[in-house]
Amino acid sequence: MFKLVAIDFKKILTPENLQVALRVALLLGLGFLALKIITVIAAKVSRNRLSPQAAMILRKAIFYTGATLILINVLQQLGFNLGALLGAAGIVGIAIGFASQTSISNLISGLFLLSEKPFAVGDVIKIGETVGIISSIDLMSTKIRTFDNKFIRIPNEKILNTELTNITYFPIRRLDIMIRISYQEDFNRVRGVLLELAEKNPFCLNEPEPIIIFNDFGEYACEILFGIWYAKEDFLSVKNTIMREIRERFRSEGIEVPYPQRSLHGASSEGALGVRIVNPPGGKQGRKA
Amino acid sequence: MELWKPVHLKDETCYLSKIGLMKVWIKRFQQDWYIASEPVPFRDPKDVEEVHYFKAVKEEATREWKRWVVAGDAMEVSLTPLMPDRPVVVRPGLSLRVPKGHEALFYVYIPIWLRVDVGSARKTTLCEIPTTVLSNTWFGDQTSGELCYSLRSWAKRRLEKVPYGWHQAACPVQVSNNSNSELDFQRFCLHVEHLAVYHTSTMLWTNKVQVVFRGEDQASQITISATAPGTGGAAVRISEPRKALQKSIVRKSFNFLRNLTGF
Repeated sequence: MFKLVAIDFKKILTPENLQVALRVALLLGLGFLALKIITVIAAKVSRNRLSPQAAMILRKAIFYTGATLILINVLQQLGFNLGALLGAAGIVGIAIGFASQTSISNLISGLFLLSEKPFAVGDVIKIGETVGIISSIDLMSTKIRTFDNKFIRIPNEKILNTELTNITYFPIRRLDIMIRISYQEDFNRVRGVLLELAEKNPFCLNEPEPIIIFNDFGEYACEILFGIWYAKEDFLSVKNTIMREIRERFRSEGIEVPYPQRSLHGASSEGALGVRIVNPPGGKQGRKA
Repeated sequence: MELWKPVHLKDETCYLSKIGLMKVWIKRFQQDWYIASEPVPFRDPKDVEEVHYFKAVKEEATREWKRWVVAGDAMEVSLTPLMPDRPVVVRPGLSLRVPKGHEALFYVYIPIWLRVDVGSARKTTLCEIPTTVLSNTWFGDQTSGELCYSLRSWAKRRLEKVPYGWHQAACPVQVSNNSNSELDFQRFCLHVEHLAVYHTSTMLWTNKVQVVFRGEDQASQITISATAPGTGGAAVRISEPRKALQKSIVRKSFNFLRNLTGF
């Protein structure tokens, strides 16, 4: 079953073979050491000149190119016929290419994203129904962390082919608040109150100035658009404070915020609508009005 | 009362300082320092003029304290006035025009920040407290610009006797129009982070700022003097600029009549 094979080390460890082994060892050792040094230098040089993603691509490109050259030299030292190898590699490459179309598409999309820069690490984006913070932009995909701390991986091809909203691209944003006031309210008085609130709120920017627009005559109230500008990092602070301040000020000023109302009329053939009071306070149940 | 001088605090005693419209309470318990602050609502000019500097008071239980632990046996504390941590946007009283070849001098009153330092030989900064809570504003357009503070008190053409409570420093700003057209501006951005604070017997000052306007399409040349403005008597430099004093800065300082609503 098993055949004992005697290995003749004297035939393997010839001076010529030892020389080749030494050359390969030196090539691998010194080659990768030099490659590491070059990569570190490239990283330092590109740190201030390129974005983190572009610097990462440069480092990987240098490393893989250098590793390929070292490998080719090693194979040549070992006596392999590179022409035949390249031929075989070409056929394998075609097969791999067909199989990895999506991956290559993601890779190329990643390069396009890096050059176009629609967002950067730390930006808040909305893509489809997903809203989150960009935690990394890699060659094949972009990673997002949602506000409730979920990890989402989005292939770069999908990002390139989808409408994307970068919520934090510009340094300031406008918070639009739709306010409904009663038809009986004086619009100018309400406008004055809102402008005063914006002026006093420390997170609301004085410029660009807040806007107040009489938007529409609603079904049960007048609709006013109140838009205030804020620095993007103050979103939570401005939203919480201004909403609370509007409510409190409207209450103290007696400005009515109406609720939806419905008028019910019975058909003339049926007479008046019957009303039955259920659970009156301290009274008998089921009393008809 | 000598303002801005270091004060030796007794252990477990609460001290009140009031500068302008901000009250600051400080107390020490061995190596623990406690600081609380509260803005004062403005009702009367006397509210601003009244000043206290480390007056021993009875401690109130409802105070929201912040606490620091400082190694060593530091027993001295001082309040140092310095400029706000962001540029300020100032509006002249009315839309102002400076003809070409002319210049105008303004006085801008800038609310100071108070830096709380403990220790004598080696000072440790604990915190900074604004004497006036300023609103944020944006200088630039919706896509680029910088976050600034908005000054409600407009630039003055003369040194006026304003209700003075040592909570603001006067900054002389000289605007020269070296362009070929009239300079019409409604507001300008003053980079106070480059200004030092000086103390005279009557008020606080900053360095003088000279702004040379060279046209709408060019950035303005800004020069900050390296010494006290030379107004109001002998001045002592009491705090350094937040950022290194640059002799000349080329920046866009003027914002012209422009629709910023972007709607």
